[in-house]
Amino acid sequence: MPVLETDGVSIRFGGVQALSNVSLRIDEGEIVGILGPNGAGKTTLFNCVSGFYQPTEGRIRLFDEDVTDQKPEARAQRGLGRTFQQVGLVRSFTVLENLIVAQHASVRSSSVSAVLGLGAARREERELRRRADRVLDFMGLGDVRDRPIAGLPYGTLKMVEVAAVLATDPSILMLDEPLAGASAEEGSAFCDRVEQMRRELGLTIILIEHHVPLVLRTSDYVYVLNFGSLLAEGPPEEIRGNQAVAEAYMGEGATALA
Amino acid sequence: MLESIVEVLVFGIQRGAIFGLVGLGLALVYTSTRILNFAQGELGTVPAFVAFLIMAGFSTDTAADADRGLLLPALVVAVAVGAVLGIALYLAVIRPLGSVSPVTSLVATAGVALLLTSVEINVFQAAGRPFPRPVAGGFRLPVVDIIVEWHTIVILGVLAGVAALLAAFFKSAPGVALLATAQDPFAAELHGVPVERMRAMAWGAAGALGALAGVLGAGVFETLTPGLVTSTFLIPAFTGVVLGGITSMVGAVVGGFALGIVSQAAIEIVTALELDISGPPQLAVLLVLLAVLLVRPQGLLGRSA
Amino acid sequence: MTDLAPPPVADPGDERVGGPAAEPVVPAAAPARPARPRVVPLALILTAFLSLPLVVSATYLNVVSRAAIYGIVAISLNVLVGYAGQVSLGHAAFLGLGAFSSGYALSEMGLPFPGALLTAVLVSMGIALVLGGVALRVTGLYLALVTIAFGLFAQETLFNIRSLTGGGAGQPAPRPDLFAGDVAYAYLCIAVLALVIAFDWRLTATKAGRAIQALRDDERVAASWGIDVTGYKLLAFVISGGIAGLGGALFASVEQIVAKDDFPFSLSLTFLLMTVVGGTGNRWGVVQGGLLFAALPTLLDQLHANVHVFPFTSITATWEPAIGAVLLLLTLMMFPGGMAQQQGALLRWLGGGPFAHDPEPSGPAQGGGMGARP
Repeated sequence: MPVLETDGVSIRFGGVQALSNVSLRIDEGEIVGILGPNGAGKTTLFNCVSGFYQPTEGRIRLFDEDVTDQKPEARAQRGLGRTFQQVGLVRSFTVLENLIVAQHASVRSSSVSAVLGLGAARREERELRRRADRVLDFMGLGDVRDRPIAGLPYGTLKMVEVAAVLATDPSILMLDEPLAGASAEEGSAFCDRVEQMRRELGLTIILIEHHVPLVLRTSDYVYVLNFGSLLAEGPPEEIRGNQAVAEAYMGEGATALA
Repeated sequence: MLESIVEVLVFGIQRGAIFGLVGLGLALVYTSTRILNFAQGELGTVPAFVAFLIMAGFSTDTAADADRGLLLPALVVAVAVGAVLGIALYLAVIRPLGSVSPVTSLVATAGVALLLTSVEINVFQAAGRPFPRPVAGGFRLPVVDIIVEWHTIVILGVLAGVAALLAAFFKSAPGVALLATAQDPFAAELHGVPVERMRAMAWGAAGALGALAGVLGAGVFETLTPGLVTSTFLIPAFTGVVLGGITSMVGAVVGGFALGIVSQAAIEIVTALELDISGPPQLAVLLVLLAVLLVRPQGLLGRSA
Repeated sequence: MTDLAPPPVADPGDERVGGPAAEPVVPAAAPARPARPRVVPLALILTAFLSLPLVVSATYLNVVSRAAIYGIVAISLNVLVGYAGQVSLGHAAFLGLGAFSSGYALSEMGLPFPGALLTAVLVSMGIALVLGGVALRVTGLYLALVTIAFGLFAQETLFNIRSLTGGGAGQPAPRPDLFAGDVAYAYLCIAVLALVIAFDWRLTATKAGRAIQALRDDERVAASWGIDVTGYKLLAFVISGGIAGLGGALFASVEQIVAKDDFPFSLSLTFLLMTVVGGTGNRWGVVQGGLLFAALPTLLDQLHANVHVFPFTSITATWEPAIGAVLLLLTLMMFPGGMAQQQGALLRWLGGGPFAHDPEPSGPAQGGGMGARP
């Protein structure tokens, strides 16, 4: 069952056609990779799907509902979570506080009772912290729990960002280059984590990454973008041997990826 | 009825011309350095006070009178002072601030305006000083019995001259370089454009424009008070710039005239309909600003961001 | 997004999440030391502050009241600028709305003082709702212009509506009998300031308060977490207007008469300046900013009269705007965190943390990697 579909999505900025007729289909529980050289439009696609850009053509469907005209907040509340290329966190907060704000959509008690510090609100506060701790433990970030964001290393922040998105309790997780600046080892560990997320949390995951071998290893299905259009799509083995894809990444004459 | 319309137009154009002159300075600074300069008004009032000093024989005494004959040399000095002040402002405040959000630079320039006004009050006291016009008197329009002041014609002439100068400048090589500096400083630098010098130049030019607005603006009221340009002309000038399109210098002038006419029309309507509304110009400015930002934020002549 | 509030000062005494003070930053190996606020120094400072109305001479009692009111306005502006990352260069308008509403409620409607305060808050919140609903669609720079224009419109048009504001003659705003004396009224203002600070403290522990704060750094991130960006910006604006209105009600009854000329644009600018100089985003900083700017003219006069050394011999109260402007420029250019940042070590120590400089490098830019990808 498709959880996310884009139907002929195109978008222009001034004179530049950033995306042309991109159609994808992502089924429940899949891990899907989005590949493509720099400037291919991968993040632009994420921005259209999550609602920060309005496509000039095409529709976006989330759980079979047309969400093209919905604000990002609404799509997030429907279970769409994403990370950003520049780490998307509240810098003035600690790690824990970020994970608590991220649970915003699930907080039930009224603000009045929270201001007055009444019982139900206090109980919910404790629950928010407990849930945040659980997510941090899942991601192996327990030791940075109370550290302010400003001051943590970049790689750690990328993982904290993933943790924050997990705290929003999404059904679909869109990861925009989570491994930027990571070592091969860290990358491999993260891919195991992605598998774990699918298995234990039942998430559907869409992954933009430049680390081609890792993407091919982890994904069930891969889309390749180039100059705003879909260059190729298919299971990893097909993409691996695809000459056009190899040339897009490595120039003419290349025959295969990874 | 016709008389009212012509009156609105005449007074509107007179005010609007100063709004346009101030607005040109605002647009120039924004186009070249992406900063909304809240001190643009005081870049006018301070040189005007310098001009007054020259005409009053360097006396800060409240009873001192201004010698009209010295107006022209005083104006020249004022323009020079304005240019220097503009460049100084850029070098001492704007550049050290580095790349900050537009709001922060707006607040910083507002702080400078506050500082300059406070200095003016302390040096010259709050009382108004007499300030002459280059040409006194006016002429009577036929049909409608309305006097058009020569001062208005002078302001329009100066505005036209400045506009022509700027238009020519922006077609020339240094002008194009200045625009490039604003749009893509990195690329401009790669092409050998002296980016910092261009920016300082733009601020200097804005200061000179401000000085013109200050001297001519004081002439409108024939009185110079501390903070004059900021309190009387700046906000409508800003609104005019937004209306015309913040990246368009023609827009700044057109917007300025539009604001002048709309403000006058507001006063006229309120008086004619005997409405009990005070401060019609302030109301008009707010409404125009809101209307533009809600309907067409890039302004009439601006390009959408 | 505004960077009037740059790298925030870690403030362990600041309970953001409704729990106990966050633990001070320690290296991973050492066991975490529970943070307890240092009660004795805090008590001393509090006592000194609270005894002011009893200690200052009668002429300065109204300055104390005004200082507390400026502190209230600073908190209100902090919610909008420091937490939500928006801007207002027209906050004197909300002060005025509160002042005139309270005056009207007291003189024309004969309401008791608490009723007048409530009226002031409700009117300010209502106008903030309308203005915010329209103006918050535009960001940053344009919002600043709208608030300036609104401030001017409020002063010239709204505050001139004779029937509501007494026109040029001004609106009387008598004090309640219980607090008629200057000393008592000063304590009332201080008490309200304390309440406002407490409210602000609790606000940051709520879902709404956290959501508002999340807006400042990056609205898109907040949106991606399901936070209704426009809605919470508007909420911040309304809360900010309401608190400023409350300050306005107290303001009106300081002199017991209020007129439109009490609310010029320069006052709005002063309000923003004092918030920035105090340290946007830090409630203790902004309150201090408010206290400082309210007391500045008096301070300058005192220095002028008693310190016979240059420059104090030439600087009198009329130079106050210039001094304020210089403080602002210094803050923006050299001390971005304002007074709060300068006092960082002290505030940390009072909250229970170490006095020594924070061993972890703090500040936004980490090495290299955070650069934007085009």
